[in-house]
Amino acid sequence: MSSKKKTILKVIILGDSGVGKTSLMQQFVNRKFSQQYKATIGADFLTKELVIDNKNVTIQLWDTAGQERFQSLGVAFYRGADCCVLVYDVTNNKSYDNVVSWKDEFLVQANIKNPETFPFILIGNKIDVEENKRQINNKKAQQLCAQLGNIPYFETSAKEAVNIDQAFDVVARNALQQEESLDFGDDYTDAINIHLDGESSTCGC
Amino acid sequence: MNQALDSKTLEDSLLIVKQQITLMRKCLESKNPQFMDALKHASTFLSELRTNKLSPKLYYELYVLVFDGLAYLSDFLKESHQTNHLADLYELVQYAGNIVPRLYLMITIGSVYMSIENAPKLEIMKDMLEMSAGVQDPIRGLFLRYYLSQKTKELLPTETESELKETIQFTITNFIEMNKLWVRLKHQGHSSERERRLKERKELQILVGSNLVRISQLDQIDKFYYKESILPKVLEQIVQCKDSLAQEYLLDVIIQVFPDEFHLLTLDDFLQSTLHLSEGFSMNKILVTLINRLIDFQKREPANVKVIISELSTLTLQKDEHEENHTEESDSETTKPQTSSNLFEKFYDYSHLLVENKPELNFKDLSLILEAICKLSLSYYPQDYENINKVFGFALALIHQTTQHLEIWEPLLKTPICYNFDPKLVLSLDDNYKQFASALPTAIQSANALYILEKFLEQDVRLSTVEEVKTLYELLAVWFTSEDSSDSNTNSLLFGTDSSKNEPDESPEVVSQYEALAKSIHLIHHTNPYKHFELLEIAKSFMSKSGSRVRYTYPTLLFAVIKLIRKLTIVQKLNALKLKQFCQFFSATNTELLTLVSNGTLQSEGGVLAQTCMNLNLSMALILDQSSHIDLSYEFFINSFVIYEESIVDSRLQFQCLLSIIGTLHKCRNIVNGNEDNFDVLISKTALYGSKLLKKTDQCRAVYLASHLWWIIEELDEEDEIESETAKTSEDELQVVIKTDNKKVLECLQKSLRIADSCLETNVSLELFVEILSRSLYFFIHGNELITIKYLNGLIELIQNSILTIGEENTSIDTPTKHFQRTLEYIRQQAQIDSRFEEIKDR
Amino acid sequence: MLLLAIGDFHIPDRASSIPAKFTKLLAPGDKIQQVLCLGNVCESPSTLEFLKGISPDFQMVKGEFDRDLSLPTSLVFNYDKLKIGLINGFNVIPNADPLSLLTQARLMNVDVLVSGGTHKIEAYTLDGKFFINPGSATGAFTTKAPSKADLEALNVDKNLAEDKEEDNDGKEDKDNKEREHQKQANEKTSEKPSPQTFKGETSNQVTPDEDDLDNINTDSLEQLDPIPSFCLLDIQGNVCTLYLYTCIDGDVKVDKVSYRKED
Repeated sequence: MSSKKKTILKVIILGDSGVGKTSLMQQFVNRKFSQQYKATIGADFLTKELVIDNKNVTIQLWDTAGQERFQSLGVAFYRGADCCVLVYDVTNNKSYDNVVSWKDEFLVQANIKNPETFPFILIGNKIDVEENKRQINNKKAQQLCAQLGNIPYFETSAKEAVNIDQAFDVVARNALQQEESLDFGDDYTDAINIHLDGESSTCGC
Repeated sequence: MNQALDSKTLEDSLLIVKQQITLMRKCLESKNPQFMDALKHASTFLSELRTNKLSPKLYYELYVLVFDGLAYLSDFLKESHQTNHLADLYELVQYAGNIVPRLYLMITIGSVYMSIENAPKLEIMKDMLEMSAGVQDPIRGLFLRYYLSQKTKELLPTETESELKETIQFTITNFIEMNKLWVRLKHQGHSSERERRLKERKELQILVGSNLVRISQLDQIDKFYYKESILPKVLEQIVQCKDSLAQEYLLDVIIQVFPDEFHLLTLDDFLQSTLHLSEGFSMNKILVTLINRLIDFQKREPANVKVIISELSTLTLQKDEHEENHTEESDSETTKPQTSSNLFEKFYDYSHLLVENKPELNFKDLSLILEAICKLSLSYYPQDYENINKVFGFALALIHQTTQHLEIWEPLLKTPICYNFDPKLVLSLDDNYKQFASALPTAIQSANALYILEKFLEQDVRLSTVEEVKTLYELLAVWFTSEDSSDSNTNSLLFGTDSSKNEPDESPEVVSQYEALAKSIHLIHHTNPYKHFELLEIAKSFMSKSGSRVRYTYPTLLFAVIKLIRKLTIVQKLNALKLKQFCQFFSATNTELLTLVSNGTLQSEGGVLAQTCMNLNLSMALILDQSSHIDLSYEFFINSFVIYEESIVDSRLQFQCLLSIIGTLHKCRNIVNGNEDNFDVLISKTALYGSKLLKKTDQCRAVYLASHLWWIIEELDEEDEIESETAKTSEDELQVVIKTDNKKVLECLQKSLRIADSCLETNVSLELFVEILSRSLYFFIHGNELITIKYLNGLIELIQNSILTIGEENTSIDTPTKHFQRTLEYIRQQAQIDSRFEEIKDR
Repeated sequence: MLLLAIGDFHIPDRASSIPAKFTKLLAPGDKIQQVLCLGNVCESPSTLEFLKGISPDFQMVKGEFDRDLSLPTSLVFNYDKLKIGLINGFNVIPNADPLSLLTQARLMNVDVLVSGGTHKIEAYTLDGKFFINPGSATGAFTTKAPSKADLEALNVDKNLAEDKEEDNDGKEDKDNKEREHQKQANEKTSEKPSPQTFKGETSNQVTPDEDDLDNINTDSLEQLDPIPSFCLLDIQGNVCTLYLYTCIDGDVKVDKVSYRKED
């Protein structure tokens, strides 16, 4: 296609405070990992250029604050998301338990039109820890994925860069699929018809 | 209504923005892009951001949509920058009519421009920053500057030192400007809208904080650079803005977004600056947040913390040497010289500075701060009790200045127990803690005492030294303070002066306190029973101060002594002299309990307590019998009898007590063998007591049960069987005969029959007859030669005749008749196993 | 129908608490329909509260150390085809004597008699009746003399070489040996327990010197303490399935026995 149409994929990463959302993103985008703990305030994003099936896309990863008090303006940035990544910490039961509520919160706040088909991905982070510290095993996580509608699941270590690219590759592909299915033509047709009667000449196609 | 209006405005704006974005994208994505048209559409939707009708939250929604829209423009520009000369474009948009769209376009283009190789990055940054000053409306300005920061974040140059410096300068300047806008919002509009503005400001806070996040993301900044060049500037702005909301929030952000080790290095600077914050600033929130973060750090990475701390102390030393030369000129009035790398001391010294410099600080805040410092010490220096002593010393000084709202100190009081995994820590604290506790209201002291004790019980913390036992009970002192007299007349003194206190109906709180207190006696433990006993004596010296409430604790104490004697018996280390001490202690304690009964303060409860006293005595007697101290055992039996005679008044209790006496005597072995005369005295007396009971039924039963005291046969445990066979203790049956007196048994049964016969109610007599028949069968089975077939048949005949006399159909004898039939049925069954039964007549 | 039989707590007099594993097992719920408490809760409102929380149908008889005189000393319950009697045990003379218990069961006209007092969990059938003793829920100390077997078990645990020798010795001079052994025990600071003192040979009463008393360690005797236990009764028609719960070194063990009433 010769169209200069540019694809921007908006991906929201959600999960409890401290599960490693920022680290996952840093590892994927900048190939960096820092042991230092820095809380995220509000929402922050990183972008990365990717080629998926010969297609150039810009993936915009939105990191979010796990702590509510740092989300004072609300979560309007969920809007227009093409994919949502749910993250929990395999050494922290509570973060696993909260995955479902993060998903629900996302669906409500992002105003998703077809919640059944919207792509989610589950990531269990921190698999680098010793086995005895692990509280959530793979089987349990798979059950959750089934319960959430057979969503893809990855176990990662942001610290040791395990499975990061694989996970985000699926994230990007699913986001792209979602983006294409909701091409702007769909989304805003009504509005265009109302206001652009007879102005179709400006349109190049 | 206002909200509805707001969301209508928002929806209208959103619709326009969406349409214009669509149009813009069509222009950009057509084969022959119409860039100027696209810009026009962008400018149109950007104009929606000029609104002043939206609350920050709703404005943010609009902003997010605009942000996403402008991303398409950025992408287009990046792709096609050769055709669109970015420098020209950057100039071109300056002529847009309205300032808000103009600046958004400028930043959009400027940021793309920055991303291009060899672009004059620093100039563009500076220019955009300066131009942004054009929007002075707080909300619009804050979002614009937020956009500036979002768009440039991945482009800021950090290659060289000077670039880094510029980048930091850029970010800090943006931060300062945003903070000013944010603070200014406070003074806008009518004063009646103050509340709403506060809410709006709170919503906007993350925009301001985002700049600090940006700095924290610059990996080139190490902790020293942070200390020298970043923190001072940021703190200066925070202090100068004189706005408590901003101060609270921004310090919180600093704590959250910068790494822990930065905080450890800059603790002094950080703490110093807080001394200059405005009134109304919630000091405790920030300190508690900071301390909690440091505690989490210690929990998460203890090894790392160790390294950093030791590094810090080296730095501190160097610094001290360095400053040595300047000491004369240095001003040490408000700023204490940094002499220690000890975290606790830093915070502790700081808490003093706070009190000196911030007189407006209330006690509630101080108590929370001290609590946090206490936790910090327990986390970083778990073994350093001196720290905790200091905290409580300080708290004690503070608490002396006030008599109001003392309850605010309760959490601090509980901290050493609640926060430390080893409850014993509290035993190592000095007097400060106890004094602090005793300065608080009794209810709080009492709750804390229970809290401490429950922790000890929960974790089964053993107390094995005199010190430990004493200290624990001193901490529970509030429960023992009803009396300060410790002479032996405590009780009479107590009851003479304050009898209302000793009503048997205690509050549930008191009862649970004393239950816990009694349980604490189980914590006392020493491998050597004699040392253990000394600890028990100490425990008693405390318990004895609780007036009539000793009834809750003494029985436990007495059982502890009984247990010690058992142990010493097994290991054969029971020293006669020491045993005397044990016995004296036991008797004296038991007598004190009995005094409570005899002087009548416990009313109805007293009788049952007397039963307990008697049973305790019986237990002691039995244990002494087992240890072969038969004379002492005898004494305790006699004492039990005295209690029975003097203190057991209720007829039901008398019967129960008598059963206990019979049961216990029946278990004695050594006294029977060693001094049978004494034993006979005891059992005869017991039978006599039985015959003197108030009710005939009780008399009858007690007497026939007492018959067992002349018939003591030990059935050997299964496990013992093999052993005893080889040891030839018994030939045929696995029994050891302790005492059998056929005649006495028969006499008892006969006597009980006479008593039964003398009952006025025939149905009662009948029931007792059947019971005596059953009892006779027992001895028949056991081979008492005087309980003959003839005797049994006689009994059966007696019962049958009685039934006939009363009349079988008389319902009043249903129960005994059936009992009789069951007994006969039993005899029939036995006849199949034991031929002797065949001769017993049944109907 | 599921019943809980539990007793001889002696809290706080002789024990602090029911093992945590037990309280977990007995957490409030609707599984247990009736609690049969054999008494000797002593002076512990918290324990009573716990028991009452297990089932609203809480039944209790008085033990000799309970300080509530209003409690009954025996109770009888009729279930479908079984009658169950409840009695503390101090009122059965001789205590825990099977024949006396049988007499008592006949008197109360019950098929199953639940009694306590010995702090030793057991269940047996005698002459067609079922006898249950759920033991002590706390493993409370009992004044009943420890059995010879228990004392010897203590010895084996200590692995005293001399004991093993003794086991192989002839029977004839056993008494002599024991006396000799005892002497040795006194000379050394060894803690050889002798069951003799429980056999009534008063002549052997030992009184060690005072200076001999400093180095005594009685910690190993803790294992003589009774084992905490309770029972669950599952009543179905004329069958009572009994589950015997014990807590040994923190581990809960369950045994099962069944009783069927013959018609």
